[in-house]
Amino acid sequence: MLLELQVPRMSDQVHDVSVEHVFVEAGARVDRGTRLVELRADLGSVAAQNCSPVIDFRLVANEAGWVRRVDVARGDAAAVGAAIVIVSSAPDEPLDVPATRALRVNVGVVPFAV
Amino acid sequence: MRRLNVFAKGNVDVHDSLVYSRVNDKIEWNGLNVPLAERHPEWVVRARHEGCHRWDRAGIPAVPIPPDLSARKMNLGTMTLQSQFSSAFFAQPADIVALSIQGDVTNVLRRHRRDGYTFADTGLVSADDQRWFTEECEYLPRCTPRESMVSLVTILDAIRATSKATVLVYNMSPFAPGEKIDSYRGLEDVLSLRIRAYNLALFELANERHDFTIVDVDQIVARAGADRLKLDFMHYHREGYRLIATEVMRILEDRGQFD
Repeated sequence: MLLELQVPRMSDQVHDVSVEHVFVEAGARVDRGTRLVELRADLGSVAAQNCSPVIDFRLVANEAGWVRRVDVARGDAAAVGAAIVIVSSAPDEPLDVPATRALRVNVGVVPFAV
Repeated sequence: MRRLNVFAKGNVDVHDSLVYSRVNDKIEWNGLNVPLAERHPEWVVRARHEGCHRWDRAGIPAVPIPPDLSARKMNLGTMTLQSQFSSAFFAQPADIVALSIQGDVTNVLRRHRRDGYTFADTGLVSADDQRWFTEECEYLPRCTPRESMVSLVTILDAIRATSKATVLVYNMSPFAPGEKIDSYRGLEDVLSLRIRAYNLALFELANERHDFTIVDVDQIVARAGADRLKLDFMHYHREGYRLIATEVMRILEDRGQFD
């Protein structure tokens, strides 16, 4: 079964994000708690103010699987809902079929990295 | 007209709730003057604001600005070197001082490797300054709640030495729109956990010393509904700032400020 890591909708104002960090690569095993990616949403384009509303959030696997393909790199932009990583429940499933559903993840807002 | 002198020493939460909130070049909320005009029209707020990156670099009490920092003429936005090393709090009397845990929750400081002083920088500085930071300085880890409360005590003692101002300290709502967590594995460092730890530390300090009042932003937001009040984990919509300012008004009335 193929599963898609999809960019979550953090709020109605967020339509796209930038990729800040990718923790996994193709071939990696993921388990519940494996860090997958960190994304940044800049709400300044819709709510510009002195203290810019920028949030970094991390997607963490909430189920096990195998990373089969990573379609983004640091600095890339991605739209909300876009599939950015493909995970499969077995390590060698064919990739030429549609994903069954979204990968189950936990999403947490994290401090800005320094 | 009677004047209420407010010194808001903090960032977006204290500024936007008490002074004003401007979004997309439009004033969305006009600060404490709004509930004050409704309830005590014979009073007016005179608000001064000063940025506060973190309590251990708040300029209270004042210390000299390191000469090589001062010489660089950096663009630090609201986090001026003066605000970091020698706060304007003491320049004029204040009836109310508003602080917040937000800076200590989210921000880091740099330390000069050779001379040991700490300071806050911003993304506004020049490329040359950035190079100097990399060569001469290092980032310090985020402070712990315990370290933060030590810094707050230092500030409180400095204020109390010369002022009878009512000191308000905002806690934070840990709710972040869009967050979804049923396990903290891989998310041990999320801001919501950090905020909860800071809120608890603030409550514990308030039980030890009784010379400041908590503005319980966490409770305000929970009661009214975080989803509709918050833009992100620390920015609010107009209604959020209105509710926070209204709670500040209630606290001041309870303290007899307008008697």
